[in-house]
Amino acid sequence: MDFESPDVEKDFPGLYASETGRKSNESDFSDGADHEKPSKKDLLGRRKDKKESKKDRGYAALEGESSPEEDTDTKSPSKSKKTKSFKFPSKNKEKREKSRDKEKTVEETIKHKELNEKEKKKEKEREKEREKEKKEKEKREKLKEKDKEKEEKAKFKLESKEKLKDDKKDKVKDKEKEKVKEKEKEKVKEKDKDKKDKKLTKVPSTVTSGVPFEEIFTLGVALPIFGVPLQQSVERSRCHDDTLLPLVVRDSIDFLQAHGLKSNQIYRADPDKIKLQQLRRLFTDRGPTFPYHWDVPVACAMLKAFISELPDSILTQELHGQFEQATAIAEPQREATMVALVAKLPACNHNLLAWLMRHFATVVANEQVNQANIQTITNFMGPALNMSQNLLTYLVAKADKLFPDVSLEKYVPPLLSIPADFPECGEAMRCELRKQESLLNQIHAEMHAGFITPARDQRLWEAQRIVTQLKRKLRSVQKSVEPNALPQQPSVEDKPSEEEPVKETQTNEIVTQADVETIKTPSTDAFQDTKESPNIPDPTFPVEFEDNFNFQTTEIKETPEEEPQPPAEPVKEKPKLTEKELKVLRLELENAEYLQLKSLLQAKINSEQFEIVKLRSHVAIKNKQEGNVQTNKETKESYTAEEQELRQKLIKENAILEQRRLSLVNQIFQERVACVQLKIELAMNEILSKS
Amino acid sequence: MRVNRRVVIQFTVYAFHIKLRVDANCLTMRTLKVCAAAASAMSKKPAAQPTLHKVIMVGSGGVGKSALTLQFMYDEFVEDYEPTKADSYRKKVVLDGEEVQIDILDTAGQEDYAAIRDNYFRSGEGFLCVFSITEPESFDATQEFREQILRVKNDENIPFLLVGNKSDLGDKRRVPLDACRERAHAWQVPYVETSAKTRDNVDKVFFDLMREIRSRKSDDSRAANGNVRDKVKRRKIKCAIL
Repeated sequence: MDFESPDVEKDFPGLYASETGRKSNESDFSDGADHEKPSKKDLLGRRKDKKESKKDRGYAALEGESSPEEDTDTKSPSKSKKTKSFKFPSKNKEKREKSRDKEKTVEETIKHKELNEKEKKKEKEREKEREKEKKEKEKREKLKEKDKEKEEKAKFKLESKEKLKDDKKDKVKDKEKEKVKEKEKEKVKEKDKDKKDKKLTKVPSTVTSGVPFEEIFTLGVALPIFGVPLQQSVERSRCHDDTLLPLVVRDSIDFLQAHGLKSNQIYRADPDKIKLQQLRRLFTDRGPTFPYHWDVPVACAMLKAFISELPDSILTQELHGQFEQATAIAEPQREATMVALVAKLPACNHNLLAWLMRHFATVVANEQVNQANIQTITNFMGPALNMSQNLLTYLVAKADKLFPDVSLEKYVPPLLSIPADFPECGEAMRCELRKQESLLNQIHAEMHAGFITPARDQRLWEAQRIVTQLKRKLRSVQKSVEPNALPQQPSVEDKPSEEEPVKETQTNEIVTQADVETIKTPSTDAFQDTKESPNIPDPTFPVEFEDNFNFQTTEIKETPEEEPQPPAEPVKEKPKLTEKELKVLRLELENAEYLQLKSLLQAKINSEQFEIVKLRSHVAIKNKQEGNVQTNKETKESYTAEEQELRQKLIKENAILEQRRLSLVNQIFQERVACVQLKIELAMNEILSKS
Repeated sequence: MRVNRRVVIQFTVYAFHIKLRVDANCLTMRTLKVCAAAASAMSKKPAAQPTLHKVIMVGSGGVGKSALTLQFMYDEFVEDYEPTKADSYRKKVVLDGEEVQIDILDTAGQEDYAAIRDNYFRSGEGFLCVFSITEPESFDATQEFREQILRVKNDENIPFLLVGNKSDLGDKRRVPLDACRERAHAWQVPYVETSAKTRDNVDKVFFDLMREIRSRKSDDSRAANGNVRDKVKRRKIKCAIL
């Protein structure tokens, strides 16, 4: 508590803000009604924060003060698994419960004895036989109870041993992450997941009755962001401007770029743990963050935590070794091999690596002010990134050459409403439209995963309304521009502009593409050229790559006929202009159709995953309930002995049904592909007939 | 400087007090907050923002859902057809002297977007089920849409209007009026014929639906406000009459 510090007077906004922060924490997605109020206050808080950005420490102290009781309700199962503070209390509780149980049993036995004595005194002669029977029964009961206790103890010991093992493993992991151990890690993570599921089942007892589904089964728990493969993390919490970074990473880097470069705490100081956990929780619950949640050490720690919890190396398992080997190569070849290796990375990893390295480069460039050199960064981030010092140093030093196409831009989230003075230019609109479409897709995906709350409903409608508004505006702008363009393609022009947002291309790219559509004839060649030159990592490249990548993950089975088309097409396109146009159009339509199909399938996958998690938790509950009652097993055995024939029949039938199901699934896929083809034909015909 | 110091000290004391108060009253604060949230939720709607009615357009592709919506929203009629994926609009209107807001969600007729559509159905408060009187298939499809809505909403009495569009194309009519009325009667919903082109009955369908939604809402709120008993009694009486 630094009350004596002269800064305290300025702590008022912090106090205020921390309160609003708590408010925004408490108002879960469920109550959309008071969404507006806190945001206004938060805005106020933010303004003040900006004025006194250096005095973050004061806030930290204040929040630290108010957090204990906050902590009690923030204790969600989504908390980090490494924090010891969570494990021990639960153990203690168990112990306490057990000791209570023991006490109870002791009391019971005493009571029994007393009863026995009384009974003996009263009815010695009359009912000795009955007494004996009773005694026997009681003894049996006692024995059973003791057995139970023993079992519980055994379980508890096992669990604690496991936990200890896990802890040890974690420590080992941090020190030396090797490929061999990554498998183990996965196992450990699975265990952790299971544990999480078990913990999940504990939560409802306090919250359940009448609360919307999501609060029991939060989005952050079912679809976590930390500790999952990068691709998933990006899908679940993406920046809506196609950078393919998880929001956590983007926000952390943005903050450090804005406030950290001149601070000598960067990549050095330890974070306020409570603040860190609060922020982490906000991200896992997809809540909004405000400046008072952030400070430099927390942002650094956040970044580190996210990266160190990725199950896979950021350089991917296959390429990691090659990267390390490449550092040993002599210089002229080294850069070439590095460039080639970087190009091989999946889009998500590429972008994450690029952003990190470019960010580190800017940090190091400010060494004179922040006194952080490459050594500081390798010390801080090296273990998390799992890179040797040589490699990291090299990547940072060559960041601008290895990732020439990435620049660190501050993230502007999609607007909440269209302001009256929204720029009338098509580019800004298209840009915003793509963000909104991306947001919309994410909301749909979340809802398909089963997270339906009034607040999310509201957001869905709002996003949809903005999209509609933007489309309308865009159309009117285009109509006013149209006279300049060729009069032939009004319908052609409209369609791509709507479908482009779905494509995950970069902003610049989109502009050029739009230009292609409007001006058409001269620039198409240039556009094709950029497509055909894959060696130079120019802006279009990672994007194209990403699209293909996505396709492969979801639709490999159905696209074998289509896949070869894209590369083949551009070559053919040269002879005639009209043909070229047609093919571009066809490709665009195809692209749109497949993207749509992809999003649908993705939504289905998400909902299935969610179902799995849900069922697992049910199984966990059931197991717990039945764990004590062993009789079930015996009955099962007797069943199997009697009804084995039936069982075998059922198994056979199941196998047949499974086969049928698979063939049906295949059929559906094929028919879908056929449908897509037909649709494209139809659209083409329509466009042709119109033009 | 001295003055500054004093001010600072005063402030520190003040801050300390506030902190203490905050700490001590944390529980009460929280309950207060909950109350305040509840109160604001109760009081805000009528005062700050006009009531919002959520209307959803459903029907097969090409029957004129978007045309009806655009005619209602902007008094415009678009000739060229362009399939909708999903579009949402908001408008302030005066409904029987009271200012209300209407959210219209224009859905896709094509089955491809069914997955997206479901998310919207859930939050819809009233439905305009549109078909084209020149297209019997679209009329048949209304049955399926109705079932789908009932499945999602799980409510037989959800505000719902059956709308036969393109009434300006009377000479090409292929769905007899009797069949439409019959179906509407079977569902116990009103039937209206509209023309997005001539703006015939366009306002009527939206306003009729809003009225239904409004009366439905007031019923619900009455039920929620503790007059459950009354309702039960009413129902009982009704049952007796029946």
